[in-house]
Amino acid sequence: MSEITLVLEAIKRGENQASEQLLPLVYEELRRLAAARMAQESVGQTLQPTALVHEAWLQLVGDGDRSWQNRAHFFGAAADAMRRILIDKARRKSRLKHGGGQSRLNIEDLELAETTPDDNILLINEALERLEKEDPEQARVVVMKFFGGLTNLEVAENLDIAERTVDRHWACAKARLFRWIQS
Amino acid sequence: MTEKAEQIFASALEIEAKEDLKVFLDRACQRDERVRAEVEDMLVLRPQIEKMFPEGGVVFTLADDFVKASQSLE
Repeated sequence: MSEITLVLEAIKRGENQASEQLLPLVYEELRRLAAARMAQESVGQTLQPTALVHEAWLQLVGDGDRSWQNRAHFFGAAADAMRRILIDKARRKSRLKHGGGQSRLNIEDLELAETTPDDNILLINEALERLEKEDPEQARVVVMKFFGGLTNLEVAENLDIAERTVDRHWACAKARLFRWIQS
Repeated sequence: MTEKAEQIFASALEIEAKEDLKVFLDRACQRDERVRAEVEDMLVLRPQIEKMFPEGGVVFTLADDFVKASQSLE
């Protein structure tokens, strides 16, 4: 049983200190993901990582529902949080681009305008909402992989399906979303 | 995209050699030209699809800032 799973179970039992133990473990996991990512770093995709992960964490620990079953379940919840944050930020950026909210412009907005990877996030989210109605399992795969950065194995554990199925869902979902966005 | 086209498309992604792909599509699509056209369209668009959905997702780009953030908490 992984350390994260043990801590999650402690949180579930109501041991408040366990939440503090979880954060460094999550960072450690993200560090591992980051190392893998750095090996295939592409230009122009940098986000506001520190703010993003802190906000995600706050959403997770501030959420009343702490019934995460295990590490995979936790990262599934993290992916949902990441999605909410990224969409909120993309919407703010879109409003800024179109001249809205100028009176409330601040440093964070300026950073966002420079570093948000692309406006496709909003289009993808819109198409994803359609996919959620037509094929909920494919949509969950997209949320976890695209917004959460989970591996196929992690998604498979989360959804209790085969890794090969995750791979197929991911490939087909991307194609469907792409076509909807293009049309 | 139909379910049949999706299944064929997903399988086709695993085939690298052009000749093998043609043989596979001949067999999988049989004479259903509509399905074949759908699959081939998706295969042609694959580079654009991958660009829109980078492997690792948007959050995967958080890179070493996580490390800095975690150190700042210590």
